[in-house]
Amino acid sequence: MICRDIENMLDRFLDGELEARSMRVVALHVTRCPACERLLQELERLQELIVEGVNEAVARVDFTRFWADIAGQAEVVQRSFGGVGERLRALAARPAVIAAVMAVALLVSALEIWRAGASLSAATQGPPNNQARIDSLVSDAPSVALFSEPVSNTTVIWIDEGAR
Amino acid sequence: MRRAAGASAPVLAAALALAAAVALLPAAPACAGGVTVTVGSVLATDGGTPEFDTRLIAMKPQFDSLFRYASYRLMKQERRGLDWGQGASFDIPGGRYLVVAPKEFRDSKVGMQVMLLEGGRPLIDTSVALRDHGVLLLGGPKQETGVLIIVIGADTE
Repeated sequence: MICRDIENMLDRFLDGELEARSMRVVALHVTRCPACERLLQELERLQELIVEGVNEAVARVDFTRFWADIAGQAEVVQRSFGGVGERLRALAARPAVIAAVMAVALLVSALEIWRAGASLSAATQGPPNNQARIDSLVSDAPSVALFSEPVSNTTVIWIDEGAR
Repeated sequence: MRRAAGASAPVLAAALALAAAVALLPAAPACAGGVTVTVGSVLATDGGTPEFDTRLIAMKPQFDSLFRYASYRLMKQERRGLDWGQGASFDIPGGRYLVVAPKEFRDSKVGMQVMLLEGGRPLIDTSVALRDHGVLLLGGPKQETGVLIIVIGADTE
């Protein structure tokens, strides 16, 4: 592949939209070609600037009025349930009622825990999650590429030893 | 007295429900015992009749998605139980060896130092946090007519 092909793929490479083999080809090329590496760094910087711009715009939005309105509405709802609250408090003062409520709560918790366990077992039937984080990497090889498989997040450290 | 007798049924129900809930609680992940590290050396080659080692069948989707070699054969597999902070050396075909040292277990990930050496030369020296029960692939070293793909797995006990 020539530099022009690689340049056309750099956007998708940054967004992780290339299929695994192309990701590898681009990553390997970039480690060897200073011009393409520079272009990739410029694109990365551009992406960072866009993210910073969006974050700054969000930070400038005034949410003060928004939350005050929500708090007002919440107060209205609380007042309308005032009578029910009084009756619930009177009921809750009886020990038998407390015990019964505890029993129901515990049964519901037990059922939820059982259901969560069942869904975890079902989840393990799907693709494995091999997510990994590389904190540091040093190599004596001429070039090293790092890529991952999108479904199971399997990370690959690929060493290109060159011609030996 | 009547009051106590009246309350006993709900209290008994609560106690039973509590016992049921405790019995159904999932066991907390016990990682204090260390970690089991599995290292497999796979020879990936092109040409010849395509074949896929049946012992690697669980990893076929990942291999098919990541690589384009015709054949994959598991040359060697080794499993060791290691304590945190304890390093171990695994022999890799081609006179290489892999040093794995688990460091910590945090956020469901096994932090470890992984070093692949060839004749005293560090081909790779990396610090990685791998999801518990997950695998990491380290590939590329030339072997016979193909390349080696080293599968490194970590499972807390």
